[in-house]
Amino acid sequence: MDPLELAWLELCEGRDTGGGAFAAVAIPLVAAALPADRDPHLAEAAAAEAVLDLIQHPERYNPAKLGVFPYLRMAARRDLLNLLKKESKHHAGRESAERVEVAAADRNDGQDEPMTLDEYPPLAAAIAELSEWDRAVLALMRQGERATATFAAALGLTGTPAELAAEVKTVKDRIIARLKRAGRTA
Amino acid sequence: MTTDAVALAADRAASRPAFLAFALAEYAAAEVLDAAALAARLGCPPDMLNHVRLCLTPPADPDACRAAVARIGDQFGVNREPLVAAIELGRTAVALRDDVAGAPAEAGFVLAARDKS
Repeated sequence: MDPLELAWLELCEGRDTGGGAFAAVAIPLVAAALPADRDPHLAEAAAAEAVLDLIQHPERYNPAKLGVFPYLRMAARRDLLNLLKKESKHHAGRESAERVEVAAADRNDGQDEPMTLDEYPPLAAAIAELSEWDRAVLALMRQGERATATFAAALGLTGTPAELAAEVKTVKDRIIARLKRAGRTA
Repeated sequence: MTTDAVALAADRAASRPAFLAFALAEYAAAEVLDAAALAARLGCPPDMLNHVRLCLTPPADPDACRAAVARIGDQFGVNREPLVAAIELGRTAVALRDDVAGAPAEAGFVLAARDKS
């Protein structure tokens, strides 16, 4: 059994006190699997966020569907994308976020990952035509993310919870409508 | 890995009330303790403090809370009295934050000022 799976089982055994031991094993492994060409600290921060999320919300992880490492890597990619987007907003540039998307796609070995929409050419084409922001939202949707705040952060939105919910819903509906249209042509 | 993973996670957990890091940060701020002094107050070795910070905050239910505090105390050799004080302070901080979040818009200034401190 690999060290991370073992650490996960140990965390499950003593979940309220086992966070530190799990983090010590998981964060370096996950951070090393992320593209870190720009700032390794961001990769470590993203890995830490993904690990904290798993410790805090283990019910969101289904071991029957995915190993703990691919799950954490996927979650950490999302967090890294969010961190890079926040950073690139500060620097008024978007190259980093695009780079991490490309690098994440390059690193996707297809193992242990859920089946992707991209396997269908019309859908892949529709996804490729989405804006960078819409692709980030779609990535979160495909990971099963439900929190409006996470989508709002990925989109760089600010406002009241009601405004954020409405804006996020608009974006999600638009993406789903586009994919449905593309699917009908498949 | 250029950073100590457990320290990094514990630092980031300090903004999440689900982790003891949050309550311990409130306690350390209230008691004006740095990390070494906090570890001394808790009675645990400094290198164990981050593991304590990454424990989940005990539930509000008194029996379950007592049991969780006992587990943390036993596992990390932590004095229970300051730990319980920290947990109560953390809960108060969350309740105050929730009150401010639910208050009229001008209260946002209080939250913003608090975040910057």
